[in-house]
Amino acid sequence: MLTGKRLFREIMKGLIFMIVNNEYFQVLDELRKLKNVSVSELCEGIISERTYYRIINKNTILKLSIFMKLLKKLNISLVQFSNFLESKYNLGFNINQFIYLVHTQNYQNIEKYYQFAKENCTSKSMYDLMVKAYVKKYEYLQNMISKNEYISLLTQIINDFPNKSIYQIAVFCLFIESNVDVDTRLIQDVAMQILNVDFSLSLLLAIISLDTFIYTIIDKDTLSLSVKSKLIEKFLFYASFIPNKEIELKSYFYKAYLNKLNNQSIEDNLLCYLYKIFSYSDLEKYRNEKTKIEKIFNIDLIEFIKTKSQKIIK
Amino acid sequence: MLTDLELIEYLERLRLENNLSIQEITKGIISRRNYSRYISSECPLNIQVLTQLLKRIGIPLNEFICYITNKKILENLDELLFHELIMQENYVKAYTYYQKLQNKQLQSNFASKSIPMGINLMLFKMNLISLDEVKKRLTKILNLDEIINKTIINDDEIEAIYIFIRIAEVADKEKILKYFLNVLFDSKYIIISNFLDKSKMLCYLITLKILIEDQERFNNDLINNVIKSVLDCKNSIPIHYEFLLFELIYKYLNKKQIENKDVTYRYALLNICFGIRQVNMKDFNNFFECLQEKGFLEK
Repeated sequence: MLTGKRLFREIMKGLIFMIVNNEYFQVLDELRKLKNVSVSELCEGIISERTYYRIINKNTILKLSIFMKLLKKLNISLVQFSNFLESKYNLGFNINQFIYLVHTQNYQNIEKYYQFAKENCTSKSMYDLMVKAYVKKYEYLQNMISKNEYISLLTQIINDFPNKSIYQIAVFCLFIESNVDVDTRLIQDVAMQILNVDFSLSLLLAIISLDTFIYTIIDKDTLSLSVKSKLIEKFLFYASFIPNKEIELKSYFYKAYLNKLNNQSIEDNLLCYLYKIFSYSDLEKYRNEKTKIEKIFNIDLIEFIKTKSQKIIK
Repeated sequence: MLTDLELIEYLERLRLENNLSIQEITKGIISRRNYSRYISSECPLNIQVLTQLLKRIGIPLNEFICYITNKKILENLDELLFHELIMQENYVKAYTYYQKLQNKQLQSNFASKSIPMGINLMLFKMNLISLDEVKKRLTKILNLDEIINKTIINDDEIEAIYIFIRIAEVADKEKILKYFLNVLFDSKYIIISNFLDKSKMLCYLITLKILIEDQERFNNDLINNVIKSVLDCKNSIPIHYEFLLFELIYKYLNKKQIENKDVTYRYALLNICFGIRQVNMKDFNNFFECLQEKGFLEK
C-alpha cells in the first residue's frame, strides 16, 4: 500500500494512476480526525457509516463525487487536500518551488528540490519535459554544464514535445532567454503563442514564462511596442492572483515600462520596484539589475533614489 | 462544489487544448463509449479512471487540481478582489465589489468564513450595522472555539481570524494568541493553504499584532523570540503585509530602545519606495550608510 512519502512521491511524479481510491480515502480519514469530526457527522447526508468503513477496508470503489462531498464537508478544497499531503509529510520537495527558486535565482535550500526534480521527472510527459528544462537551467547557472550544452539540451527537449502546450512555451522562453542569436521569427511566434494560450493549468508557470520572456526582450527591438504592451498586460493580469512579493514588485517594473511607452511618468512605479533590488544582499545581482534599469529607463539609479528619498524625510 | 460533470468538462477542455483524440486518451483505460457516458453524466467518474486519463494527457493530478482552481479564480475575480480589499482595510472600495457579490453564490476558497465576515465588517465600517451586531455576526461565522480545538488550520480560517481580531474582545485575542503560538512553533500543528507563504506570514502578523499592541501584558522574551523568528523566516508575503509586519517590529524595537540596523533599513526602504510614512533623519542616514556598506552606492 502506498502511504506517506511514497503516496506523495507518486503524485508528484505523475504516476498517480498507481494510487487507488483507498489511499486517498485514508488521507481524508486522517484529515477528519485532525479536524475532530466524527464519522457520523462526516457521512451524514452523503454516505452511510457502513459504506465509509467499507471504503476504508478497501472493499468499495469511491466515486469522485462522494470524495468531493466529503472533502467539502470537512471544509477542505481539492487544492488544500493536495497541499496537505505536502505539509503533512514534510518531504521538503516541490516541483513548483524548484522552478520558482531557479527563476528567482534563489539557491538557498534549493538542493533538495533539485535532486527531487532530477530524479523524478524523467518521463517524456509534457510536464516532466518542462521540469527537465528547469533542471538543465539550474545546472547551467551552477556551471555544471556549458552554455552550448544547455542550449542543445533545450532544443532537444523542445523537439520531444508531442504538441504545443504551456509546458512547451515555458521551455521556448528558456531557450530565448539563453540564446542571444535566436531567430526573430521564433521570438515573434512565441510571443503570439503566449498571448493566445490559456495558462489556467499553472498560474505560476504563466507568470514565470511571461517574466522570463518579457525581461529578455524588453530592451530589444524584436517585437512591436503593441505586442510588448499586451504581454505586459497579461503578466499583470496573472500577477494580481498570486500573493507573492517578488511577483508584485516585478509588476511595478513592468508598469513603469508601460508608462514609459505611453509617455507617462515612470517614477512612482520604478521607485516601488527598487524595493526589490535594494533588498538584495547579493552585490552581483544588484549590479546586473542596476545596469538593466539604467539602460531601459535612461536614468542614474543612485541619483534617482537620492532625489526621491529626500522627499520623505521628516 | 465541483461535480463529476464539471471535472470531466475540465478534462475534456484539456484534451482538446492538447489536440488529443478520445481514442488516444482512453485506449487501454476505458472504452470510447464509457468516456461518452462520463461526458453525458450517465456514469459516475472515479478517481482511478480520472488519474489514468490525466496521465495519458501528460498532466499530474496536482496540476489538474490547480487548473480547476485557476479556472474558478478567473471565473470569480470579484470575490477575490473584494476579499483582498477587506484584508487591506479598504472598506469603501470593497463596497463597490460587494454589490457584485450580492445574490451570488460564493465560490472561492474564502467563501466559507473570510468573505461573509468581511462583508459584515465592511457593513459596520460603513455605519450600516452596530459594533454589537458585527461582533455577534463575526463570532457566529468564525466559531473560534471550534478552530482552536484542531491541530489543522486552513487559509480561509487564518484570514478570517485576521479579520476578526479587528473587533475581537481581549479574551478572544488571548485564545487566538495561544493558538497561533502553537501553529507557529509546534510541529504538530499543520497549515493547509493554496499560498503557504502568505498564510504562514499572516499567522506571524496576527501573533505580533496581539503581542505588541498589548505588550505590557506579555513577557519581553516571548515578543523578542517571535520577532527573531519572523525576521529569520524567508517566506514571501505581499508588500502590504510586509509593511505592517515591519512597522510593528520597528515601533516595538524603538520603544524598547533596542537597536536593529536591518529592521531600520528595511522600514526606511519600505517608506521611501512606497511613500507610506515619513522617515526621520537618523533612520534616513542609517539607510544610506547601509547602502554604502552593501556597495550599492558605487557608480
